[in-house]
Amino acid sequence: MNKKPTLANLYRQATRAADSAVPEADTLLALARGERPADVERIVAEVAQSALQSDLLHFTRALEPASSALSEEIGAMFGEGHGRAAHTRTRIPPARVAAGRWRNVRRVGAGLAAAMIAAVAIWSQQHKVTDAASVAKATPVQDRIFAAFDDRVVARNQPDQIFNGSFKSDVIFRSSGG
Amino acid sequence: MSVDPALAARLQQLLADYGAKVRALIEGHGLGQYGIDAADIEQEVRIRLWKALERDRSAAFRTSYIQRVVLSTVIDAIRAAKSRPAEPLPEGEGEGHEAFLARDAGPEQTAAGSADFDRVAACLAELPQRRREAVALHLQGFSLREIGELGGTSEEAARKLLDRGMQTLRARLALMGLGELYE
Repeated sequence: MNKKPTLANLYRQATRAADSAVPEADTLLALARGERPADVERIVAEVAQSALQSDLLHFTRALEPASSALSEEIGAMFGEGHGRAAHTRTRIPPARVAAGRWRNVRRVGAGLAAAMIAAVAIWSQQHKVTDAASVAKATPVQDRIFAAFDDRVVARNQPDQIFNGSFKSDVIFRSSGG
Repeated sequence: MSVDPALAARLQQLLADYGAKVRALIEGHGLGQYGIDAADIEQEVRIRLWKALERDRSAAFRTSYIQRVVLSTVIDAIRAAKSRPAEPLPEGEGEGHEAFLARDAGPEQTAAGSADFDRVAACLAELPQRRREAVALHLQGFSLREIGELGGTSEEAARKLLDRGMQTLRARLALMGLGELYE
């Protein structure tokens, strides 16, 4: 086999022999997915100069369809399993279902009754307070000290007895007295 | 794993089929040349995936997770092979085009081939960085679409970079008497 190497063969042979770092799996996966990590330029330069890294990247890309198929098949298998389990869990005997339903009705009824009692208690409490307040407003206790200023007294317009105009004049100053 | 035997058998079969595909891909991509054994990788991948299923079988077995398991297995094996004392590593790693030099070339690589590569590497080093990268990725077997993705450009831009880079490279290699490398 004295065949002359092609440029690609020559390049790959040389870059295969050169020692190069082995990349991380996540780096290869990111590149295979078309993602661009922060130091993508350095990584790509290394891939270009390393047959090992290039081969691993080719391999990563080629691995995708088979891995995807396996992922789907395993997912389908366990998905079916989960579906069966869920179905089994929800299968409850009708008698227990009915009992559970009545238990729920009783719980709701009790709750409603408690709420009604509480509402009535609050309502009656509030009405007690408002009645007392209205009674206090309706019968105000008059302060007798300032009764003279009482509006009702003013309204009646009862004249003060001291300055009553109709009082009998003093006979001492009576002009006709003598 | 506390699954019914039929399900376990189906899982085993799935993993066996997948392991066989992984083995074929390793062989097809020539990864054996890096000192790893495809059969060992196949076995190890099956064991790792089975253990992962045992740990948490409700967990979603995403594609990327499965790929990561395989890649980690392959990378671990390559690292182990590289650290074997029977295969001494070349001392140090060169800079620039020096890194391309075949210091630990296999028996198929002759001194003449090594000298040819020195000249190719020298020509490549003279190319603008983006063209050099496009040419290097092309020589590593990447498609235009892949070169575009890796370079962060469109396929069309990658094609232009590659065309111009290859044109310059050919012209320089022809001047050095290496035009036959394209045949």
